[in-house]
Amino acid sequence: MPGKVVKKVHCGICSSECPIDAFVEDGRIVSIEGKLCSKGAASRQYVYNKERILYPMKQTGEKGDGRFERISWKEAYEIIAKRLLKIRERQGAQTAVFYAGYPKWYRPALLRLSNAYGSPNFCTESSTCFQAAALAWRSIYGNQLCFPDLAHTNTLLIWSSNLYHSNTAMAGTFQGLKDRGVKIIAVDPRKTPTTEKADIHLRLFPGTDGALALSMAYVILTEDLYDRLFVEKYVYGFEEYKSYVCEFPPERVQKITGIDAELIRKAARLYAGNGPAGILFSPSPVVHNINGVQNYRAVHCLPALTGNYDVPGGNCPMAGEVSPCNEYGKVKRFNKVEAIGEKDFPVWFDLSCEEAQCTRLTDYIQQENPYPLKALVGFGFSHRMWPQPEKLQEALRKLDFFVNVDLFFSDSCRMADIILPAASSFEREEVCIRPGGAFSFSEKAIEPLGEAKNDIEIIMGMLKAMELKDEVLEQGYEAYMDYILKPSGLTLTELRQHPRGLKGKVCIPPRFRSYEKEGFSTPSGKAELVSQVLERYKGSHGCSGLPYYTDYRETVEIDRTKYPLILNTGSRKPQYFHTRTYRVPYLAALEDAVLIEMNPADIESYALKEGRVRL
Amino acid sequence: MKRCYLGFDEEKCVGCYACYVICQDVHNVVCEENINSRRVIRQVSAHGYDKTVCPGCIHCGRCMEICPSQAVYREEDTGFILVDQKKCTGCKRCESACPVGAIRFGKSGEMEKCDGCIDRIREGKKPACAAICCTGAVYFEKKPQ
Repeated sequence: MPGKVVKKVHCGICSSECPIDAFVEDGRIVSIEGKLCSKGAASRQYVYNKERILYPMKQTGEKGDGRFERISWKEAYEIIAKRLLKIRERQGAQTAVFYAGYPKWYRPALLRLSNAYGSPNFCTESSTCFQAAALAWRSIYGNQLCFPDLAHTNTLLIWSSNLYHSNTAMAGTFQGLKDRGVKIIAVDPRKTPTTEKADIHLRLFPGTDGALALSMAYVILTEDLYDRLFVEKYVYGFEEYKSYVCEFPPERVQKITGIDAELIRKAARLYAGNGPAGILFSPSPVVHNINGVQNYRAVHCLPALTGNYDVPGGNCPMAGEVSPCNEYGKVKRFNKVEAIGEKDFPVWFDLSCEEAQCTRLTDYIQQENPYPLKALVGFGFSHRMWPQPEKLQEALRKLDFFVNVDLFFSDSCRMADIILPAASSFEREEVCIRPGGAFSFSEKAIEPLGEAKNDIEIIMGMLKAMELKDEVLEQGYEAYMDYILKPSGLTLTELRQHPRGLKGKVCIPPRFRSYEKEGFSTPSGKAELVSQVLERYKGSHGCSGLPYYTDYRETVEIDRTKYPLILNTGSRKPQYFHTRTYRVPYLAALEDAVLIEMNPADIESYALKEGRVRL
Repeated sequence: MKRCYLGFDEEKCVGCYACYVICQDVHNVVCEENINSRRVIRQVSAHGYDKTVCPGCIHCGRCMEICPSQAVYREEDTGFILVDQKKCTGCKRCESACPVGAIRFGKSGEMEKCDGCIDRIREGKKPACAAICCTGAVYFEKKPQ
């Protein structure tokens, strides 16, 4: 068709960055192509959404009124610089919080801005999510969470992930495993399209993951299925762990988890006996629980116990080729001043993810503890991520200055002094890191809508307006993209010519069993089944070095005979990702707004009927 | 001459809605709301739970057979079943004949059905639903006649 051009874009709705071919005519996206989920399929309604913020705006009424007037970028930057510099001068840099929601791609740049300003309080949505899972792993192995080497695994233990709905594009990989005869164990309270394909489905009560993992360890230890050589040489705290695990025979754990004791045995034997075995973790469901980190630690102990750590087919740090690059995960947080969350969550900082901990942000604002918070620089800040969101929304009123950068006019934007329009992934360029030591380039398909800007250019604009120093950000966005690529030996010019991907010129080949030479980056230098970092805070914070199981049904003060059901509001729907796609009409219309899924047995016992609430 | 086949494998469908949504998108020049998808959302009981699936027209021709006004016809090149909306009287007999339940009626009562993305096929592409499907549940085949 004449005048129609194809642009190679990456979807920016979730973090999978699926490739999309965008067909553009007269500056508008007329169609899209790709192997996508429903969210990606609705990209045009996401981009051309009525609720997009198109111009910088300032609040003209009281906070929360939602009365805004359009201003220029120049005026917006001037206001931001004036207010933030004044706060820094009067109350100190630490009183400003720099927060990153979704998407994740601009995070290193925002951390640089926070550092340049002098605040220790760079934090992200990961405070309530993925970083807790990563921390659980780091407490044992000392490194970044290791995903399974799917290409060589014989048994895959999928822990609480309905990947068909949360990462639909992974369907082909998963079906490939099935075709190859890989045995699948799925841990999930629900029956899903993923558990349907599993050889063993461990259907546990939500939140009892730790007990299940400890019971699997019980079977592995009592039936002598563990890797004795690995344990003797590379594991710390084995005897203490072993005696704790003895408290979790499958018959007892059947009562805790609701899973048949024989099925627990069968799963443990398969994971330990049909190796190499990998565990596919999900970022959030397990850690969204009061015993979340310890529950995940119990799960994360299994690779060490069975010798499935850093071996082909197991959970490995370097199962594929890697090409070095700058920025993501490389920028260190300014930590010379106490950050928010540091007193409450010392382990978070000792096992650092280079982020402050903002789960209790509402309290820190309201109680002015550890010090008053005066400013919030938010990128995609949504109060709905936090527990008791209305309380946080109210706390935002107390801030002297709040600027929020977002695609859509969210409810949190109503509390902002200034709102700035972000560009979608179709409206900007981006260097993306791909598996196997490759990089790809997301092309700009269309000009930004209204006066929207690329998040990193907004960060650079703020830096410049405040006359702050950062040698990388000062160079501008083109140079920034080149800087990301530099260690790989590639240039931006080369990558632009191959947007769908180029392998780095510098490539580190896959490595296995690197612990044999390098040990582990833990206090003991071994894989710590008893974490020495957690042990430090035993007396002060009640931490336990062991993957201690606490049953929320015993610790939460709820009359369980009166309220026997558990409501889980975090379940992933294929058409939604956090709060990001609710305002997309195609997606919002797919299901009734109020949808409750219940176990059919419960429906029957309460004599409920499908009606206004779909059962 | 090629005969085309647009199939659906319920076993492989995971109810991700991608085909349902892209169908709305490709048949919609602007981003209007309340646009019909020509695919269907259905709950089926399989493997001990209620699974959501999104079947669509398989161009079986039952709507064509039952249509009293010859509004529904078989397109020669593809073998796909199409509708000539000008001839449709809106009697809705086709609706009850459709085994999938994939027949819709537009604002003025005219019959709407899957056209197999025939324009895309002429451009050498697959129908949008088959092109986007990650699981292979919606599939497209071209067979020599």
